[in-house]
Amino acid sequence: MQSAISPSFNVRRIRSIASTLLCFAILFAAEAPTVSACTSTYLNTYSDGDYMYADAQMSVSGCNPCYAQIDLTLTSPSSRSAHTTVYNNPGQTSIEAWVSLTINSEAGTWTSSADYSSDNTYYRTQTANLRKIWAYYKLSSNGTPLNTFSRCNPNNACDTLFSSLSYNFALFVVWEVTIGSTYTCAAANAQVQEVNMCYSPDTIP
Amino acid sequence: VLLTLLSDHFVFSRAHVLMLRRDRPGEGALQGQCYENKIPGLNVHKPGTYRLWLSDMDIRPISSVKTIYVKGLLLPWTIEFTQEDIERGIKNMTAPPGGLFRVTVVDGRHVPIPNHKLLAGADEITAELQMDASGSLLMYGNPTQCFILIDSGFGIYIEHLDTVGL
Repeated sequence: MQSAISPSFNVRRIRSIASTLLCFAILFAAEAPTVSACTSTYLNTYSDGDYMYADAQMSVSGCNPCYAQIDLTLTSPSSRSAHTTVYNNPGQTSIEAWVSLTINSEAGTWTSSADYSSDNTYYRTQTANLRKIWAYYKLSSNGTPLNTFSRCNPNNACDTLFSSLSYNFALFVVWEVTIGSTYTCAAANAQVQEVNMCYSPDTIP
Repeated sequence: VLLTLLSDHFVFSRAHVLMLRRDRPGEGALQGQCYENKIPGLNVHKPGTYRLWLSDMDIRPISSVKTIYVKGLLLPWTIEFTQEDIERGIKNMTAPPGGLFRVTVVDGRHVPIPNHKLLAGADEITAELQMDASGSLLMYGNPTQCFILIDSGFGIYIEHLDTVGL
């Protein structure tokens, strides 16, 4: 699916450009002698209840000419996917890729995967892989300082979770984050909802 | 924002950087590169508390010229961005106290177990620690601040490495 213009696209683009200009200014002012390229990226996954969206942005500077490319893929729990590749025009230093999929009542994990390529001297490609998971968990053991929770419906994604909460059953919003060679699961206590049993299947957004 | 890491003991020569909002992890994942303690160009638009991960790191003890490859931070660092930080475009962060640690998983006879995975956690983060073929993992951080789940019959060695000898 080709990228499209979202309502807030221009605001974000202006922010990205501003950030890039700021990056130039900082590098120049600091006379950083060896940082020859400045690449910043942004990845967001969100939904409005009907559609799931993935939005990837990238800014480059400190290079001439500059090359920037984003390969963005959004994948649903049933492996439906939307993909786009966006690259910059000559002189363009900020790009954005955006894809969406209908949710179609699909429960489970949604994956946003973005590959960023630039002229950066030290890394040719940055990758980030985010899976947003809505899943039921049950308290499996009490511990100090953290309790251990297990997924009610194991899915090879954050099947075990540590939390300071002590609900017997809970619906967690968890982000499975793969970055570089590290793998973590991040949940926010504010987004956890207590429930009274293990439900199956897992919920939808 | 240009983020500069301050440390009395290490230079973070190179690292892959990921930053997530603490209250909505994963939404608005920011990435960048660290080079010689500087992380330029982070697109921080909103003030708030973020978690900062460094992975695939080359770090150099200040007392040494040797660079050491480290898989990543044991746990992410917490960093607060104010509106003023964002408007100035500059933020300095003192690296939390820590050091280089080698974690090794062993069986009941104290023999290292290759490629074993451990789960560690702190706060609202659960991290999977993948040991290498020798049964070890080199990390940067402070293991006393995290929670490590050990299966029955297994053990772990945690060594604080003397960087002078590396």
